[in-house]
Amino acid sequence: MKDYRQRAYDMSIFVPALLLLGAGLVMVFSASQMQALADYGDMFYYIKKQILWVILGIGTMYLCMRLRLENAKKLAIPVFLASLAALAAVLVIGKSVGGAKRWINLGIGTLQPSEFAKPALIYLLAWYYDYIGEQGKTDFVYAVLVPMVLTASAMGLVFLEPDFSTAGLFLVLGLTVVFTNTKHKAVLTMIGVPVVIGGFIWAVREPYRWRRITGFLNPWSDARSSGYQIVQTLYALGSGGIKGLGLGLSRQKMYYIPEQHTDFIFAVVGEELGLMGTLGFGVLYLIIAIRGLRLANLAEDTFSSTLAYGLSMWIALQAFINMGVVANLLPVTGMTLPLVSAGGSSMIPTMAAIGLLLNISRGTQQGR
Amino acid sequence: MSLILVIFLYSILFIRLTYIQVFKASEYAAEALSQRVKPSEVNPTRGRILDRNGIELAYSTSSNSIFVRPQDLKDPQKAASKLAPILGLDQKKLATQLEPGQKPGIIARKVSYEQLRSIAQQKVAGLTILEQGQRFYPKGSLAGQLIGFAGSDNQGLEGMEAQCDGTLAGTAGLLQAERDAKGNIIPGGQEVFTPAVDGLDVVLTIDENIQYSCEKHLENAVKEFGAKGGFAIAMDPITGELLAIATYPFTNPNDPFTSSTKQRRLTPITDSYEPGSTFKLIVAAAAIEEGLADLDDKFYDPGHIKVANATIRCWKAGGHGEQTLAEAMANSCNPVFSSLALKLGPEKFMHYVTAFGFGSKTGVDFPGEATGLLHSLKQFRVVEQATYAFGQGLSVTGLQLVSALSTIANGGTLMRPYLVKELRDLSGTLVKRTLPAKIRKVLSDATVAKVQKMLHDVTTIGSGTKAVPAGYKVAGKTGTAQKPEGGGYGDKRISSFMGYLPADDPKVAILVAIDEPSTENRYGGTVAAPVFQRIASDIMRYMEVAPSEQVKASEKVAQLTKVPDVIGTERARAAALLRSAGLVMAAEGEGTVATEMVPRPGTSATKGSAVMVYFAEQGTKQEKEGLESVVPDLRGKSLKSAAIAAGLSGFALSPEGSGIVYKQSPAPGGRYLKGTLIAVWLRTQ
Repeated sequence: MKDYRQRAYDMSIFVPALLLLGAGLVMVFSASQMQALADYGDMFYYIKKQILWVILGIGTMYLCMRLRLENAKKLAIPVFLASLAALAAVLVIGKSVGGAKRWINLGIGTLQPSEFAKPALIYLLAWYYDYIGEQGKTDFVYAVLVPMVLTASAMGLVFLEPDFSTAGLFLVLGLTVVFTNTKHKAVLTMIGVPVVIGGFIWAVREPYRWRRITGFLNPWSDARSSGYQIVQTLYALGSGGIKGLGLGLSRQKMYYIPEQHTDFIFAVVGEELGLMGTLGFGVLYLIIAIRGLRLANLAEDTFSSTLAYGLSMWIALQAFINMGVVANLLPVTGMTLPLVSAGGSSMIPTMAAIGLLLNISRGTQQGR
Repeated sequence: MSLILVIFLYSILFIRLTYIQVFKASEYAAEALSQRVKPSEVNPTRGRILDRNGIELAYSTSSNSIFVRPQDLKDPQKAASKLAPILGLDQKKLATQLEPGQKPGIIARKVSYEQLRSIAQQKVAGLTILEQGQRFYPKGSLAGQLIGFAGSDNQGLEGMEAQCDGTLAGTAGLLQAERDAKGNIIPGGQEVFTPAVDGLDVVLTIDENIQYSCEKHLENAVKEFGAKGGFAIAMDPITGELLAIATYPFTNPNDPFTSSTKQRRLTPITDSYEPGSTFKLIVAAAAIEEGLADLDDKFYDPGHIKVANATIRCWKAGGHGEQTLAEAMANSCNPVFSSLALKLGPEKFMHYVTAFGFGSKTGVDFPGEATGLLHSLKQFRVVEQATYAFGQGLSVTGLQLVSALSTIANGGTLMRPYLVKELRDLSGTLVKRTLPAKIRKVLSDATVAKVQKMLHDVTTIGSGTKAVPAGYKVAGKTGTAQKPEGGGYGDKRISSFMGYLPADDPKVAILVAIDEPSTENRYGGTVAAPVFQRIASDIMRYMEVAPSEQVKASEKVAQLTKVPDVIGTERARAAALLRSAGLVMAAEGEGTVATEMVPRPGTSATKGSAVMVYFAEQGTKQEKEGLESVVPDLRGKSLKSAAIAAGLSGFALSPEGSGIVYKQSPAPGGRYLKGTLIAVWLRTQ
């Protein structure tokens, strides 16, 4: 077979990612300057940190692009174990915020281990299916049970923080990866669906959590407390209209929107750039997802295929959840918008994922 | 399949975003805006209340100030050492300001909250913190009931503060600005600003100096005669402007609730009483106007008159015998006037009573004016007619009486009395001026001239001789009304005198009433007339009305007396010393020992004039005896208050011009030997 291998990286992943990164920087500056001025007396405080994270992120991406995956496969187990150790550590030495321990204070900044654990789990599962494929083991225990236990180990630790929505994302990612890699789809559905539903019911047995979830169904019924954040983000989106108020001109970012430069930055995007902005961001994520899933189909080895699949699904789902919360499609969670939200814990793992996707894209055949 | 799932989820998101940002956009945008635009009121500055010369009677502080009453301080040196560093003031200077005997006043303005807090920790007694926007009445109880007071919310509650509330209060402005969630105004956000319209200054017709004179003499008289209270009104008879309205006991508007509701009433306007013999001039005027009597018509008073089943007695046992109408007025003979009233008949009599303004409100610009009480024509039987003739059986307000008197004084026209002379804005520009308003012509000129003569006789040959200040002609009438008690008349009296002067060119009409004097002799001519005389004397001097030419120079000299030295004596002794010299004491201060007096001992003063004597506690005398003293700020003061202030600091005054002090030399604040002459230049505003 003559060389059909793609020599270049997939620009359809690289360009959207770069666009989101650039637009993200602009939006973080726009959204954070007031808060930065109020908190530190320096309107550039957060954007300076974010630029640093982006530089580190690009470095990480470059590293992941240049990895020889054949050799780097073996890193799966130590990386995953390191992630589990970090997740366990956060339960002990984590910084308690609002009753939950999700952050480790490193002195120079804070680190959220669950962000790093997401690609680590996907990486591990990719290695695992590659490994059992070579061994020819396809029965239920190897193809379903063991990977689910692996997923549950990471998920369980996140669950204990507690961070239910992130734990839920681990479960969904684990299930979808397992689902695509096994023949036991019917059995998995029969087990998986009740587990997801049961987990959901268990999670909302606390009335306050139930209110937080129902709050999004009618935020105005309780606009002063649980519905407040949602009402404010909807006001922001509505104020933006189609064309937006213009860059830097958001009014709602002035302390009305909570976490305006991290979890709810998409609301500022909606107010300043309008529907054109929100759809633009959405389409960029969608392109990355579509191209990533296409990679999963084109990849010749199980490792690359599973990795591409898992990483694409992760980015696609996390971005969807974040935007869905802002658009009041989903209850409020604490999930960041990949490549855009301020903070290194989100930036570094996401950039690693982009780097890995690009790495895979170079090795695959051009589907034609 | 996963691809389909992802595309499906994103499609829902895109539809949802489109729905929110296109179809719900205007609704959410409007709600967001209304959430961010928070209206806030901008408070207007409440206008001041000024006397006719522009002296502040009420103002609102625009920043925190500290007001000190030195007599409340225990240790002025210690207080000064505590306060001076906090306020950044000179400690020595402050200590002198805080010495007992110094006038209460503001020692620091524009005091920050931090400073206020530190001062509060020092726990210094005698300090009052005047907060931003707080209403302050710098003259204390002066015209307290008249000025009334305003609540902390810029709302006038009583008196002129209530009457002129709409004018004084101004209109609150509104700032509708887009604000962030912390309440800060968003720069470049939507902003609609309706500025506050500040209140106007209300310039009263009241003259601080005349008001002060009325209050001082009223207070002294009430105390002297052991009376329950009293009032005094001074009116410009030509225009109807009220120059002073005093009612005792006083009320301090800075602390209104320490006075009872009753005490806060401006009784000559809000309360009515039986006027007694002062009412006789109405009967006389009506009878002359109707041609039923003339000045020289002879009447015979046997001492009583029988009306229906009642017998009306003259105050003089056995009666006055034969007398002219003028003599009857001078003698205040009841039976003569009763018979005149009966001659008039109920319709005509009642016609004149109402024409003079009795039984209806004068229309003065003051809240809560009383109308008084008259009988309906149906019930106006002979007994009522006969008793009305000497002011019994009906009730009138002091203001109605003084208006009726002014009608005689000004040539027969009833004027509407008024208190608001002008409205001025912050810059002092005139906004509105009240013009004198004629209500009606009551009497013909010929009748007025006759009544005027008759009233003049009262003060020359009749019951009111004690009302006359030396050198001036007064027309007036005494009154000694029995107070109705339990359906009849008891032993209590209201002694009054009303009159105007100079009789041939009236400048002021004055009514003095003393409620329930407890002395043996309670006739208006004995109790109220001397008070009238003192007030009238002060006013004539203040208005610079030249004494009538009929007073000969020799008489004038005879009227002069040497001011005795009362410094160092106690209150009673000082009063006695001055009285024996033919002078009246006007006491100032709360102490027991006289420390200063104006005019100074040894100078000449007109008999009957007032000598200001300042009383302080014994201990403070030594401090006063230092050789030097600080020159007080006399600017903006009237001649009289300047003289007092200078005198209190041990200086003498050399005035030039009249009106208000606008310049002085040496300048305030300097230290000079006591007895130094301070030159002051005065001008009318």
